[in-house]
Amino acid sequence: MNPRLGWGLLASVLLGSTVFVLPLALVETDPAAVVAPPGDRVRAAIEELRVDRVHVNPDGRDMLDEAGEARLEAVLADSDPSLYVVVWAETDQAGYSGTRQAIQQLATGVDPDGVFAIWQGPGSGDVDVLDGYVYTYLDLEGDAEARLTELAASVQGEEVEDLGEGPREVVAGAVIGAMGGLAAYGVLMLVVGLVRLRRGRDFFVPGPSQGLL
Amino acid sequence: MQTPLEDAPAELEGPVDAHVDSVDALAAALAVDPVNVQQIRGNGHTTEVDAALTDLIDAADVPVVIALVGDLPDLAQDDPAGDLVARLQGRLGQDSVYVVAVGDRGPTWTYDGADPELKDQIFAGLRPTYDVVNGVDEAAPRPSDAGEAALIAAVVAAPDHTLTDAQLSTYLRSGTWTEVDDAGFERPPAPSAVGAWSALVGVLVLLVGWRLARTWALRSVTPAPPARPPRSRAQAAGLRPPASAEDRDRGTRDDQGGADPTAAVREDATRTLDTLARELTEAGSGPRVEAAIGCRVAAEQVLDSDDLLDVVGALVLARTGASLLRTEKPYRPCFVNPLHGRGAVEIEITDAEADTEADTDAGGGRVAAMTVPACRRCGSTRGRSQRLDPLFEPARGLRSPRPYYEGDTLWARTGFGALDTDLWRRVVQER
Repeated sequence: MNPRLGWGLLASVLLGSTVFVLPLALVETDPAAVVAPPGDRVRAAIEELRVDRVHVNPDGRDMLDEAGEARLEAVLADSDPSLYVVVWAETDQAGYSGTRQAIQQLATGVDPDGVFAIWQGPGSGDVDVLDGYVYTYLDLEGDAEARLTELAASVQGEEVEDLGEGPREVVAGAVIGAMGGLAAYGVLMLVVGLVRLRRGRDFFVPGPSQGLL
Repeated sequence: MQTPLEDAPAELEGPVDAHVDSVDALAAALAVDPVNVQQIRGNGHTTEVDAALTDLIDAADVPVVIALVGDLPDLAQDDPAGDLVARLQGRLGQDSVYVVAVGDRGPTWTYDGADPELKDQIFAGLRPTYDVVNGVDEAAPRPSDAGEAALIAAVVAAPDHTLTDAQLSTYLRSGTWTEVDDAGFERPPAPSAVGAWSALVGVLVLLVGWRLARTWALRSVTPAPPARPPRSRAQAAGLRPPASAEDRDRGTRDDQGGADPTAAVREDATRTLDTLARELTEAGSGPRVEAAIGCRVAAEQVLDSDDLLDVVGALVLARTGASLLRTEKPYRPCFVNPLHGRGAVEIEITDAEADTEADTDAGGGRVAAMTVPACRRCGSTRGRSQRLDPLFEPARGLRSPRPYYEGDTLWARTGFGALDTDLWRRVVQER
């Protein structure tokens, strides 16, 4: 065998597998890792949510008083999945762009598997999880304590669906990608062959083991 | 678990300013500390923002009051900031520059004091920031309310009421003073997507690499070696058997030794022509002798060419002439490589293998397969699906070496006499 064939095969296999393995090893796919670090407002909430499950910021106190907070904490203490509640005034000037980002920061800091609700007053609030999906219902009208208690009842017993992917999905993706690579190579060589034909040469590129590959 | 909380700076003690929920409370707080930054407007860095603003206004000649607060009750709906400033002026005096952000509106500044020029100077000083603050420069990060307030405070505080480049870059670029990216719905790529794309590119790289490797391997096949100087008259006359593998290897080595293959073939051809000339003097007359003379004339016509194919043609013509004098059998060289000598067997080659114009000449259309003479070695090579050892046309310009019969020369059309036994006439006519 021509030694160039051996070296070429070795180099192709090494290069191809490097291109395959490197992105898998280097690309960050963890949703928690891309969450921006929280500012002081979210950090204060994280501090308290690690102790109990309701955080009422001073600027949210008129929406939920101490007594209401204590009652809600009692309701949420044994919630499953874990439900956390933050009550504060709406703003986009406190280190997060909106409730979605605030919940990502809260979940990353407190409990990546928890369900987080933010109440910002009538018409403004959100319920979400860091990664995945859970069926919830939060009515954003009326009294915060009443609505959040209803939310706790609706979340109780719900499953947080994991939308994350395991090795099975990665293997399936790689198989599909490999087939795509074969197809792309076929298209490439079809184009090369057609150009060769136009120039009055064979469709197939000559070389040892002449043929489709 | 490592959380963002654990590597947070020391500003965790909380905002310096307590929460205020009324204009009265705010006015009372401002009377003690003229900078009040509520956490709701602190851009996530309330303590740092408060300290920086305090430093700025401490250096100012005029008193400055800064209030960055959330919603306050009982303010005018259409202009809450103007209403708040009017109320604060009533409590704290008219002489100060008021920088106020309240509710969901960005910061504004007001000066109703004694210095008639200060207002214009502040306007002029803030001009370089307008594009970014008003969102004209879309590439720049959005300044936060705290950042805008800092720009205003910096202009007021500066002796010449202009912003330094360092201030501009701090308040318009740094993370403390600009709004956080709206990344709420940004998700990292799914692992399966990463796997799919990397597998796609990986397979493509592997196959293209293998394809290039095989072309690279083909490039290492050196052009057919020239005939070595004959060892006997019989060989000189073109009667020697096809070169053995051993001979060819030696020939290749000769090439690598630096010998010009064209010169070697020319030497061989010259010797053969000398022999032919000698034999012609002894020959009588007749059509075969005339044809042999024709071969000699044609050979001498192309012998001095620089083109390897021409010189090979001269050698083949000389061998053809010598053969005409000795035997009835027409001389048809090995089509694959005429240097191999006389074709001993017939092989069938397909159009793809020999893309010669002779095909079209013969039948008016392209012939799919045709029968050509070949030496025994080339004949047997095909049976065992090894690679043929064709005579290569040397590389020219960008074109790589290719088998001579893939070209469009006279030699490709005639197969050096393998396809057209009237080779010498063709040569004389066309050269």
